[in-house]
Parts: sequence; structure tokens; C-alpha cells
Amino acid sequence: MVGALIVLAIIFAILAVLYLVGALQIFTSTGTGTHSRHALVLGVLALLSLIAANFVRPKSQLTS
Amino acid sequence: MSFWQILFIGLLQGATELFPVSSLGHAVILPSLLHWSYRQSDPSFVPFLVLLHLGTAGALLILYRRDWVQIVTGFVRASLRGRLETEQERLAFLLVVGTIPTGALGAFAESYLKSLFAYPRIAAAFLVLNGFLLLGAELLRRRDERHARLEGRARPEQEAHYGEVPRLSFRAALLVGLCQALALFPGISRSGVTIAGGLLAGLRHQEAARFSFLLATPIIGAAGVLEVPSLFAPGIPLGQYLLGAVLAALAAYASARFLVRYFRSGRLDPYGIYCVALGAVALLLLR
Repeated sequence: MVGALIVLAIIFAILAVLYLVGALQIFTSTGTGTHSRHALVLGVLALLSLIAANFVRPKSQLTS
Repeated sequence: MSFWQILFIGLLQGATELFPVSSLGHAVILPSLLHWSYRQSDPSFVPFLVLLHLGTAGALLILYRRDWVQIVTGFVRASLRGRLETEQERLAFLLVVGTIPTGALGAFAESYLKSLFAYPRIAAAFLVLNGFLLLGAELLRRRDERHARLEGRARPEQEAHYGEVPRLSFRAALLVGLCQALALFPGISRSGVTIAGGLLAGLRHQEAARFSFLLATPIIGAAGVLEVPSLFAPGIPLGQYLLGAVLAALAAYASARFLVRYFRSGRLDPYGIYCVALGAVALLLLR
């Protein structure tokens, strides 16, 4: 599960970069140029995927 | 738009944004009914509406400022820890889950959704649908109250049977978030469908309204911030738009305070009936 969420985060991050540099134009209004809004949403999703991975990773049992 | 039209729309948006009657629907339908000459498909109209939304988000931030401090700190702490320990941390992640559907749909279907603003009849039809959604949610709640043998009891007693926001499941938060995504269509009320979603998820009315208002803030704020650069395009009366936004903020603050009190015992029915009536009248008149 942790691995899948990290892979998902990487995919979101790659898509964010592609939108940011204008290499990806799917679901855009202009069809040309950069799309910072799409990149921002995908960047946030990448971050949330990493946070989710942190939640599901096995925690070490610390005793005091 | 004239100066007075900007002020009117600002006041209207702020007053209707948090009421479950679709501010966007009103901002699209009423100017057409009043035969105002400006075009709602004009590129400056959406940034204006978003600036008004920014005023509303500001009002909500002020109203729930203590909650937001705890939500933001709770989010950061829980994210680093990888575990939820307090109610505020749980609330922060419920809001994140509830915000994702609208954020994603809003960004990727933006151009299509903006094109709908040019059709007041579509907004009117969605307003009718919004009214039926509110009435349907109350119908289901009444049925649930009958099953729980709460029929005939005092409203505060009926409401006490239902839950508070921190008890909401993540699946239910996602359901409310999906409801919120419907509000990207002009005529569907964001607060209306999220309060209705909250009721379906088992929240009491006041808590459903609180969750709706908290859920509104990041999405309205983000949409506003992202549109701000477009306000600096030539020919946009920024000073007048800002005045409209201040009026929207004041009206939204007053509305939120009223609604939180109203939903202690009030229901969605009057707003549902209003939406069906106004939408139907608009459909008849906007030919």
C-alpha cells in the first residue's frame, strides 16, 4: 500500500511538471501554453499521496 | 457593469452564497431577468464573481478563525506524525477528503463549466434541481426521524439524536465532497448540497451547516486566489470590484451567523421551495 501511494505521488508529480511546462494539454481550455492551475492541483494531490503513504506505513512501537 | 450593478451583485452574492439557494445561480439569472445589458460570458465576469467569493471566504475565515488555526496546525502535526490523535486533526483530514473532488473537477473541467455561465436558462433549470435536492434531503431526514421514533418531539430533541462533525466517517466526508462538486454547475447551491450531504451522512442540521461552511473556505479561497491575476487585465474596474467584494464579505458574515442560529431547529424546506419557485419563474420568463 505504501509503495502504491508513493508511485501515485510520483505519477501526480510527473503530470504536474508536464502541465507546468506545457507538454500536456488534456482537459485544458486553450490547448497551448502552460497550465499552472492543473499543475498546482496535481502537485497538491502528489503531496496528499505522500501524506497518505506516511499514514499507512508501519509505525515502530516505541516504549518509554 | 455599472457601479450600482457591481454593488448589487456583491451584496446579492454575499447574502446568497451561504444560504442554500445558489449564489452563482442568482448572479447568472437575476441580471437576465432584470434585462441588464452586460454579458455574463464576458471574460471579466468570472474573475468578478471569484473576487466576490474571495470576500465570502474571508468572512468565513474570520468567523471560524479559531477552528482554522487548530485545523491547519492539526493537519501539519498529523501529516508529520502519520496518525490522527485529536478531533481537530480528524476534522482537518475530513476537510481535505471533502475538498479533493471539487478541486480536481474545478481545475480540469473549468472551461466547460465557465461556458455554462452564458446560459441563464441552464442555471434556472439547475436551481429547480437544487430545490428538489434540498426537499429530498429533508424528506429522507424526516423518514429517518420516523424510524428513530422522533416524530412529534421538539426539534432540539430530534436534532440531538444526530451526530457532530468529528464523528463523520471519511467515506461520508467524500460523499459530502462529491456533493460539493455538483455546485460547480451554476444553479446548484454549494452550501445546499453539502448541508444535504451532511444530513444524509447523519449530521444534525447545525453541524452539517458548520461542516459546509468550513468545507467552503479552502475551495472558494483557492478559486479566488487563482483568478486574482486575471483581475489586473486592462479595462477591469478593480476598485469597484473590490468594493463589491467587501459588501459580499459583510453580507456573508451576517448570513453565516444567521444560518448557524437558524439550523439549531430550522430545516432546508423553505430554501428548497424558494429555489423551485424562482427557478421555475426564471425558466418561464427567460425565453
